[in-house]
This record gives sequence, C-alpha cells and structure tokens, in this order.
Amino acid sequence: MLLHLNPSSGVPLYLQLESQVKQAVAAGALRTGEALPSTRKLAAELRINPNTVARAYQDLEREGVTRSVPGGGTFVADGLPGLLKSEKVKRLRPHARQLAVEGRQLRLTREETLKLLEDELDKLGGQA
Amino acid sequence: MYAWKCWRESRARFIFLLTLYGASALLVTLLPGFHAQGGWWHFDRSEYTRDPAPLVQQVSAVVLSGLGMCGFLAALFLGATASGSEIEPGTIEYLWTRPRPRSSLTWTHWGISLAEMVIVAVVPTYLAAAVLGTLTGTWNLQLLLVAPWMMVIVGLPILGLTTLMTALRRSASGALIYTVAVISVYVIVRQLVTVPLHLNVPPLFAGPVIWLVHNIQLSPSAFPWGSFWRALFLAAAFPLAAQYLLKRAEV
Amino acid sequence: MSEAAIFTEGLSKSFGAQTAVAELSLRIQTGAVYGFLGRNGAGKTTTMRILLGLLRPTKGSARVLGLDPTRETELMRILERVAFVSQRKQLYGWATPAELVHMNRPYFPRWSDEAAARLAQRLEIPMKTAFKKLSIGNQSKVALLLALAQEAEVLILDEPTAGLDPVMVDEILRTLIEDHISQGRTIFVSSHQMSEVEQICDWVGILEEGRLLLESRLEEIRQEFRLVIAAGEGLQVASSPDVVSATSDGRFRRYVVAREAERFAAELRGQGAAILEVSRLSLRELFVHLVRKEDPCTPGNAGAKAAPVSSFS
Repeated sequence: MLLHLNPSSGVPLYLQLESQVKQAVAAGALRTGEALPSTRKLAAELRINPNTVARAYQDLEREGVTRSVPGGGTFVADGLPGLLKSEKVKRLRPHARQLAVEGRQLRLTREETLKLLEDELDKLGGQA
Repeated sequence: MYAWKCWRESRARFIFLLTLYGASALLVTLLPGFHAQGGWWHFDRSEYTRDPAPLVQQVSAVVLSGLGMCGFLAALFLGATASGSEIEPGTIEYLWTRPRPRSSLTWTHWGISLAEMVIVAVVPTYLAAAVLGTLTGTWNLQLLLVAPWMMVIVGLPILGLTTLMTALRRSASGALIYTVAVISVYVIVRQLVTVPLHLNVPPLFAGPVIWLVHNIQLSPSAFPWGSFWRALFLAAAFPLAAQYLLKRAEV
Repeated sequence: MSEAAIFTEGLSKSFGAQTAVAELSLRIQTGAVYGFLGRNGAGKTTTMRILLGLLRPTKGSARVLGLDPTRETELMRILERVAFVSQRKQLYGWATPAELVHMNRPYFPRWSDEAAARLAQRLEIPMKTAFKKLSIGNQSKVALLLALAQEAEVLILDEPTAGLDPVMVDEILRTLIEDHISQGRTIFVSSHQMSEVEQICDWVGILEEGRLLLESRLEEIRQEFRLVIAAGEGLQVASSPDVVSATSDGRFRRYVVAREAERFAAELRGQGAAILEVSRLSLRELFVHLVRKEDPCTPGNAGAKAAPVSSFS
C-alpha cells in the first residue's frame, strides 16, 4: 500500500491516513476484502507513530470502510457505494470554500464568483 | 565491562613497560658473560661462577634501579586513567550512565592497575633472578626476590595520588602533571626544610625502597615500619578521597 | 491513565547565577513518544542529565520509572532500564564499535545481540574501525547502536539524529518505530529536526530559557492551533492564554491562536479588521513564532512572549 503523508502540513496525520485509504478504496486501488497492512507494519513503512495508524484504523472501522476479523487483521469492507461520491465531494469542498471566501474578500458578487467557476468548467470542455 | 576497559586501555603502556624493564633486566643480567673474541660475541659462563657474590650485587643493583624507574612510571601512568580522567574528554557521560556505582569504578580501576603494577615489577625481576641464580649457582638472591614487593608498596601511594589527581583535574594529562608537580614540590620543600635544620625526618612512604638501596650498598638498616604503614595508609586514603570527590560530582 | 515514565515537579537547576531550568513540571506517560523542543541552551540537555543522575536539581524533583535519580541505589535501577544517548556521543577513541559493544553488553541483561547486529548493518557502521577514526556521523550511529540494542523500557535521546544524512535518519526512525515504539516503550527525545518529531512524536514540549512554553499532544496542535493574519488599525486583543503569540508590522497583525481560531477571527472582524489568512502551522513555524524574540527594529511590536499553554488531555 503506497500512501503519502505530509507531517508538516498541519493536518492531523490520522485524518490524512483515513482520507487516503478512502480514496484508495474509491479509486479501486484497494478492493473489497483486501487486507490492510498491520498497524506496526504500516507505521514502520510510513515512518509514523503506530498510535496514529491505530487511530485511523479505528475510525475507518467505525465508519464502515473496513472491518476487522477476530483472528486479527483489517480488511476492506464490502458494499461501499456511497464512498465514491462522498469522498469526492469531501475532497473538493475545501477548494470551494476557499473560492467562496476569497471571492467575498475581494468583494466579488455571488454571480461574479459563480461565473468564474463556470468559465473554468467551460474551458475544460465537455467532460461528463 | 569496566574492568576490561581498564585493561584494554592500559594494555599498550603495560606491554611497553613490561618489555622495557624485562628486556633491560635480562640484558643487564647476561651482559657480564659476554665478551668479544675473534670478531664475534662469546658467552662465558665462568664469569658468573668465578666470584659470584660481587657480581650478584652489581647486577642486582642495576636491575633494581631499572625496577625503581619502571615501577614508578607504572604507578604514575596506570593511575592517570582512573574514572575522573574521563570527565574532560566527555566519555564520563557514557560511563556514569551505566548501572555501576561510581565507587566500584574507582576501585575496579585501582585493582586492575595494582595487578598490572605487580606483574611489571615481579616478572622481570624474578626472571633476572632465575637467570642469575642458574648462572652463578648461588641462590642468595633475597634482595631481588623481595624488591618488587617493596616497589609495589611504595608505588601504591603514587598510584593513589594519580587517581586522586584525576578526580581533581578531571583529565589524564592534568593528573600526570599535577602528580609530578606535587611529588617534586614535596621533595624540594622537604630538602629545603630538613637539611638546614639538620632534621632527620624519615621518608613519608618511600622507606622500603630506601631500605633496599641500603641493603644493596651493604649498609643494611632496620626495616622502616613507620614508612611502610604510612605507605599502606596513603595507598588507601588517596583513592578514598578520589571516591569521595567523584561521588557527588556533577558533569 | 497510564503512570508517568518520566515525571518532574517544579524542577529547577542553576549554575551559579545562571538558571538553566526553572520550575519545570513534565509528565511523560509510559509508551508516549515525547518530543522535547527548544533552542540551543534552552535547558533540554540539562533536564535530561538530571534525569540520569549526571546533575542534581537545585530545587524540585524528578522521577524516572517512579525512582529518584538523586539516590544512588535507585539511580542504579533507573540506569538498568533506561537507555541514553548524550548530546556529545563521546566514546573511547581507541575502541572499535565491536569492542564498544563487547564492553557495553554485560551491563544489560536484556541486551540483544541480534538487534545490535541488525542495527550495525542497517546503519552501515564500520565495526572494526577505531572510534576516533570514525566520522562524526558514524560516531553518532555507534552511540545509538549501544543504546538501542539495550532493549530498554525508556529511551532518553539527546539530539539523536544530529549530523546524520537523511537516509540514516530514515533508518533510525524505522528502527525506533518497529523495534521500540511498537513495543510500547517510552521515548523522550530532544531534537531540532522538526519533521522527524512531527512524524513519530505524540507529545511535544517546547522549552525556552528553562521554562516550558507549551506542552501538548501533537494531533491537538494540528487540529486546534492556527495562524491568523489580519490587517487593521487599533486592534485590541484581550490577553488570553489562547493567544500564544502576537506580532505586528505596520497595519499587519499576526497571531498564533491555540484554539477556536474562527471565533478569534470573527472578533477581529468585529473590530473592523480584514482577515488575510487563517491557516494551519507546521511544528517548525509554531516553534519559531513561540520562541522568537521581538525584533527591536520593528516599531510597535506587540510582543512575542508567550504565556505557557498546556493541554488537558
């Protein structure tokens, strides 16, 4: 499992880890039923504290993204249709917030800000 | 293992002194038998059997002066690496964070140094004595047999003094310099005080060695017990003082 | 609540007139990885040396594993269970690393030859070269080897990765995580390498002039601390422990806020300020903002002295 965390970004590492696991699942890099590395192994690989990994795994399990097996081991849970969309929206939201806030700061009207966004979407062309 | 460290660190000096004294003692013992003949050296055993007593005395005198020098150097140099000497170089941060009481470090070092001093004093002397005895056929060598032990007794306070100096000066070189300085000042002051006043002050702890010298010169004197006990007292007192100084030291 | 592996209460140390550590109260839980940060001369090394019995406190107390390092018998028990890497990392010049290992092993019943061999290989240490001939980096690695192979419950490391190249630092982090942190051992590490601290520490303590300016879980710092840059005239900020630092330059104001940054920003907006930035901070940025002294050349400086902040979790 190849992940990249940024310890200096100010974003809690466990959140970064959770988010990347979810994106990996959404993108198909992690399949249903696939095993995640053990806490110790992943921590050593990423060079981070095992508590961070443990917390992320706990949260992922609570959210139903993963499930653990009595004998030990964490696996990607099945049936996660909503993950795709919700993760994508979550990823984009900070950018949207930034656009909104900066538009307000620069005293653009709502229409002007929206027009900006539409122009950019048009430039990208018709991509569904 | 601190004991291993003490040995390994002093190994080179120990071997040097042992070889230096050993080789010269053997050389001095065998020299009388060599003379040049026909452009080559020949060893003539008869030199030893002809008139053994004065020869034994001469050879003993030279061997024992070598013993005196090497014994003194051994006591001086072996003490300079006691635990206090590690403070300035910085290795004390390692040594004092091992689970060993500081006092055990002082006495382990002292014990290893004592063993090395005994070997340096005894082995070459006894070797020379064995060679001399074999060559002359006489075994009237008490002086040679007793000498190393007298040297060790007199060397112990010096070993202790250097050990104490490492605790005060906190480096090996500082300890050596200050020990030599203290001994020199003491000797000079002693001479300056006792000679004009015609005082007959007995030696502080060098008595047993001076007694040996008298015996070599065939003017035996009574064994200086006062000096002997003072030597043993200082041999213990100096390291104890070092132990006390280091016990509460902060680095 | 787990007990404290390392604990100090009002710990103070002065050298004559010079105060190195002042009223330091630390509490490091068993199994925590605690990053001890501070400028050179802030008192980090002094604190560690007190914990290991190399110095004695002027006032206050310190306990390691519940034992008092100022009492010799208890100190011996501490030293059996604690591994230490000093700042100077000075070892016997005449000895090879192999001889140093040989010398060190008998002190520690838990010593692992296997861990020592593995570490020697990973860190690429020349085991047969005399210590005095080794580069400073290699010397540091040897000191680390001697400490880590002890398999001690508590590791006290004074700038362990100073002078090491990034690949070696990486190996050391990997070893610490795999072989020590995973086993629930406590690590008390002082370092200037902020990124390494950010990777493995769960707690951070920032020391300045012998006093603890901040002690917090690292995740809480990430979650709560924010940098707020505002522009405005005559802005008044209530002196509060949550405003950790405040500097000004002309109409610009820069604040480091420990919690509820949004509310703080809103209050500033209420005073007519424009909020230019509310952003997260890296540990290095937080550290510099906290301890950097006022620049005497900048007029109207609001003062960069921070009130001590502590976390309650």
